[in-house]
Amino acid sequence: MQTIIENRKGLNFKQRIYELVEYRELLWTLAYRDFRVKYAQTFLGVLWAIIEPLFTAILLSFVFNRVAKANTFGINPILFGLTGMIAWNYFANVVSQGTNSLILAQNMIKKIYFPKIILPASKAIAALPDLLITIVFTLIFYFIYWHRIDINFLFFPIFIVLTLLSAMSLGFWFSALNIRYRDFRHVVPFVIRIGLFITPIAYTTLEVPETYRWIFFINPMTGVIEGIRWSLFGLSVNWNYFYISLGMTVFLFITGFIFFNKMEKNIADII
Amino acid sequence: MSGKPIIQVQNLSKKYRIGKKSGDLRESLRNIFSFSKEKPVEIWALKDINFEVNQGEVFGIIGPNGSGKSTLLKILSKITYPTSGKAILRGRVSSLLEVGTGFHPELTGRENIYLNGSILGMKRAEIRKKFDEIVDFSGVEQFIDTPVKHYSSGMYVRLAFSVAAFLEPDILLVDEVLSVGDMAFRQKSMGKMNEVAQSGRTVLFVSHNLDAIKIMCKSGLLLKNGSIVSNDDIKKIIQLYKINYIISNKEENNTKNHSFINSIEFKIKNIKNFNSLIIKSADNLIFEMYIDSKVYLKNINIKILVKNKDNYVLFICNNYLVKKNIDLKMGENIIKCNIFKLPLNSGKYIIDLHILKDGKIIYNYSNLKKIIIEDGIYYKSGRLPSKNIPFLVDYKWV
Repeated sequence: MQTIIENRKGLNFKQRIYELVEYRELLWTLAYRDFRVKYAQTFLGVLWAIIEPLFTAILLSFVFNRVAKANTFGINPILFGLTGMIAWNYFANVVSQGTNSLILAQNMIKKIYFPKIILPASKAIAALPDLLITIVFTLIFYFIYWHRIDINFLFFPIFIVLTLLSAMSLGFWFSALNIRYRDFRHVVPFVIRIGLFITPIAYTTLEVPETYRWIFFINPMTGVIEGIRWSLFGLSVNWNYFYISLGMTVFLFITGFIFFNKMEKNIADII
Repeated sequence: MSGKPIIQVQNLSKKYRIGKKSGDLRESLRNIFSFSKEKPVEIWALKDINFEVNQGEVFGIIGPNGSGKSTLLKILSKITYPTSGKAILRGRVSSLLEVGTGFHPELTGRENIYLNGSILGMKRAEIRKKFDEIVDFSGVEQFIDTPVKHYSSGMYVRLAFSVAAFLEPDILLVDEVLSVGDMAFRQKSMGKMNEVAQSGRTVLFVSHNLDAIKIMCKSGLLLKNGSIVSNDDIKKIIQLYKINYIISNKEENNTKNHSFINSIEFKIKNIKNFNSLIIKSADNLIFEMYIDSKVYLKNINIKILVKNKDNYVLFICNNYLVKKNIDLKMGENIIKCNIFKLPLNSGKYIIDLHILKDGKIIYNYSNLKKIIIEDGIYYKSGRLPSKNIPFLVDYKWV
């Protein structure tokens, strides 16, 4: 085994990916650490994984369905909101923790070499148990209230994978930007707060005027959440718009990975 | 390994930009839109470094603070990249720039061993295999399932070092990590390091601890201001370093220098009543110093200066004046000085501490301690002169 250290200009993607495979155990270990630490010394423990999305869903369904009278197509408004919250809650957690992942690990970054992309990526893994708990809880609720399950249901996991990819890719982007510009520490929570309202969690994009509707789908989570509703309740989705969201996810993931790798060389020096 | 050196460093240089390290958005936008960019200050942390290390060698790197030792190690561990030049490492590399990287206080000792191990590049299966040895070496088996936040700091570093001690790379890069734990543990870690060296691995060793370097290494580098001063036999280099070091010490005569001494704890005790925090005139006192020395220092000169609050030196306790020989051994030393019938009026006083070696100050701590002296029975009457007379002298009217 031979390592050559020099100031290389381009990116060697083959080597990068090979290295990520080499370090995969670190990814699991860091994710495990985050998960363990999150519920250490809490009384309710993993119950928090349900409490938070459930109460947000109740609140949002009150605001959008009771006050703003958004149509839930006969679906229990709380169940309706909860199906949106599954994806949104995970997404918001992963993005905000991903953004700070490098800064919070600066000590590690300065003292040891490892592919740093593992840090934001591990946040997406660490939040998976929470996501799973929310999904199980929501599906129990769903099976009680909904008896017309059809073949669309099989597509449900695909939308979960898309959620993971979008969350991870924004984690790549924001963590790398946050190293250079600490402004993103303030920008990201703000964006997430706005996202809670412009993502159709407790409403559908049918409430939005047709002319502007496509704009909502630039947000990758819009496509994912409408997709989840399609798979669970058979609500119709404009697939052309859905592909905008899908395209955004793929675009953000690829560019995020490239951008992060470009920044990586300098991270230890400028952190 | 086909006779080629295991580490080959060629024209390695590293430039840092000082000042504009991590700006904000505003700064960057301004830089894009303005033409009159002020140039950032550039500093060469390393300049044209060339050296080779053969397999199985234990290679020392020494040099004063800021000479580029750590930067060199950081480049070789891939933490930071070189500006130009090249380094070739032929083998599996592990770097140990700190012990306990990534340790989390909420996790148990067991979990932290796995966490730290994988951060250092060990596979889970490898850690599992060595787990018992690691725990055994650290001596914390009783608390292995306790969160490390409940550990004493000694237990913490012992566990952290133990994980690192069981790395099995071809090349090990070590930075100043052998100075953790108490004396006994330090000796144990040195022994472990020697074992690693004897097993044919290559070790690159950066330290301020010249004694450790001397024992472990055969040859090494002396760096100064980012360049190699000498690449030679370790004894010659250490000698050169000491000469260099003392010269630069003269320039900064008045600063506290931690190159020889890690830390000093200064305590004042009352002989009659050890636990009493009150000091009175005419008390018998002990000045107790716990000196943690990095190296063995022979025949040093300690001066304890007692000053009034206007910084005027009232008296001095100097071991040379009373012909008392003091040697500092590496590690913890306890030095005591007794004072009989404290000749000071009540009031506030300040203590300075100077330590000299061969007439040169190696440790200088002004305002080390403030003491408040209360009224005591110095004279039979129990009364003291007015406060602006600091000194008391035992006398007899005849």
